[in-house]
Amino acid sequence: MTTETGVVQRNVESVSGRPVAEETRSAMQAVAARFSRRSLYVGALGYVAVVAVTAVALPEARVLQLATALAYGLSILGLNLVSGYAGQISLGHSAFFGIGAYTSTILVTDHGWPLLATLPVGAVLGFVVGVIAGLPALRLKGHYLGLVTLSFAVVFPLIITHFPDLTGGVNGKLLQSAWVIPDGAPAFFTQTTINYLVVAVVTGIGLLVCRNLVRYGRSRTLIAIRDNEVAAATSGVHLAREKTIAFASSTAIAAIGGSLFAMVTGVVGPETFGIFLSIQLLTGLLIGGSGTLVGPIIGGLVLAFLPTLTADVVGGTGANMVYGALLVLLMFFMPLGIAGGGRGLLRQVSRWLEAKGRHRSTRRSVPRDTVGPTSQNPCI
Amino acid sequence: MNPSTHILAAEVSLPEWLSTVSTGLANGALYALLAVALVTVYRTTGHLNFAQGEFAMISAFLVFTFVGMGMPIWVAILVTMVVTAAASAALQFGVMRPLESRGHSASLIAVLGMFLFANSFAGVVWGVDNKTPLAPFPDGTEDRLTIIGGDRPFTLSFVTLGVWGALIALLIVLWILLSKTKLGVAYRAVISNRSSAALVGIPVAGVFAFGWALAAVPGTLAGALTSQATSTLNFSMMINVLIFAFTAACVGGFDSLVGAVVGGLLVGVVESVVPRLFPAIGTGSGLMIALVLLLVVLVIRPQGMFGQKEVTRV
Repeated sequence: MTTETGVVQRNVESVSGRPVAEETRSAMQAVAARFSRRSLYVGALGYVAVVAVTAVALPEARVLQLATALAYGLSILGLNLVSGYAGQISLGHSAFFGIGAYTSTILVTDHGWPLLATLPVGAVLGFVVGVIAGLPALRLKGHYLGLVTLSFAVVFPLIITHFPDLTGGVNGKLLQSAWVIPDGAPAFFTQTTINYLVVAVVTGIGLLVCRNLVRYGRSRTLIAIRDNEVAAATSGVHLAREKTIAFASSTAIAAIGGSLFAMVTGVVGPETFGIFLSIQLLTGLLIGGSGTLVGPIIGGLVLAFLPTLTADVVGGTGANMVYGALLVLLMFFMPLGIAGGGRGLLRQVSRWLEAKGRHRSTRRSVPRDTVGPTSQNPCI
Repeated sequence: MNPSTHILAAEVSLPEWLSTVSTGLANGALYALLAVALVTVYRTTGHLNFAQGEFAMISAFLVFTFVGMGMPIWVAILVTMVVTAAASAALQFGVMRPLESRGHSASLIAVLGMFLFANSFAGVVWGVDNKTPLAPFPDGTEDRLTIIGGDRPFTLSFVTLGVWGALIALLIVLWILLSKTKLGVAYRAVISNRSSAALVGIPVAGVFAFGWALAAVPGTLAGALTSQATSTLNFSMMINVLIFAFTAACVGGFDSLVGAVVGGLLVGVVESVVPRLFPAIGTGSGLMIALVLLLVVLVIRPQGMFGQKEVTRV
């Protein structure tokens, strides 16, 4: 935490006109500090502690919600790779979430596979379909990509209902799987708790993989693509290849999230995986903070817990209204989300107070054309 | 559209083909109406308005409410056009314009937020069950125009004729508005070159708001007529139509009004003719056909049939 605060201060200064070389160096230091071993150990320990305490202390209904939250969180982590780091807005991730969920359900229920063995199958399927879908889609820029991926999201439930023998059609399908609970296990050790722990472990691994992808992998290439596609291409970035790999990795992770979701809820249905789920995942990413590692987990928590909160206020269908309003408001007040932008909000407010009465243009120093962090505001 | 004869042989008669194509053209006209709304917005401010379909759905519900208050249906449609035009202009002015400096992603997200909000809003306000569909045109069983009589007749319902009529009327109004009025000339000037238009004193912000408001006219028509043509009035009625309309706009080219209309009609015809030609595809696969068409067009000719290629500078 202390390193993080230091980073923030350095960045604020660098925005306000330090020499370029120094700015670059401080940004690199910032990246290095964020990825230091200590932050890894602290983060991992914190994660394990929170999971362990919640699994023991919370009532079963809450544990179920937390498990759902982490399953969403993992998918959003995947979405983050392509939308957060590479800046390609995908509206099709509900379809890949659904691919994972249906793969696991069909393999477990109809073919008697153990659940954990279905996760890689779903991931591979998600990756392959991601490549096939991504090749034509990612040649397009910005809006058009959103358009094509939107069609995936709309078409997926139709494909599912088209093969009722395999998928159970409109009625959906049950995932029948039960863990063996050893004799003499403590009372909190229920099916739900084991599900939660499994989801937590897989999501934890997902977090580690994404951290390493971002640290050692192609994140700079991806960020270059996000910040300026044409400039990146001119500097020798193979746009189509990089974007397709990012997209396919992202859809593979989303598919694993879908498998976990099916395991937790125990039932899949075509309408669960439609366009609204896609927009909700995107909302989760943006609320949490795109281009960060913590953001997707926060986003998953919001997706799992917000509907129960809104149900009392505007009725069961009202959650989407809240998400919609949040999306618009976030773009105005917190484009970096909770993880990236709680501090951004503070900064904006103080700047607004400062600039009150001054010329309008002095207020506008939020980076252009991005909803995530930029090079001045590196990712966690 | 001109199927080879051995597929035609004996099993499908000419009147049946005519009615397949006319069904396609009727659906296509609905897609064209919404596509015109999408293109109007895109040409004005460069946004793909994903919420356009939901705006049209809200319009249909507003017409429903106004009719319930005792208005004649066409008066209700006109009133709704005015109301939704004002609301769209307000959204452009209050939400989209301030977000412009944040770039394309931010406005895309904002539009998605509106999509989600509008959809859920309709569910909360008007309920999630189907309401009595709107009926701007007479739609009894006898309200048909017979083109070919006999034992294998080919008839056109007044609804189909009405949808075509509405599309043609809209195009004439748009043409007069855009080419004969000062406002239309200002609008076209802003589309062709923003900064030059601003330099000669055209209020660009006002024209942007006008463009969004203008889109509410075909949008409202699309909502009301889709409600009648598909006999639905519920909060999810426009989602599929939106995909078709987007495909139509892509096929025609996003910056061309003519393209939107041609594209819409083409998508409608393809959607109804292809399952006839290849029965193996089965019915209810229209959206998948549209998706394939969309991908093919975007890969082969991303600017569409009538669109202009974009040139980007770094």
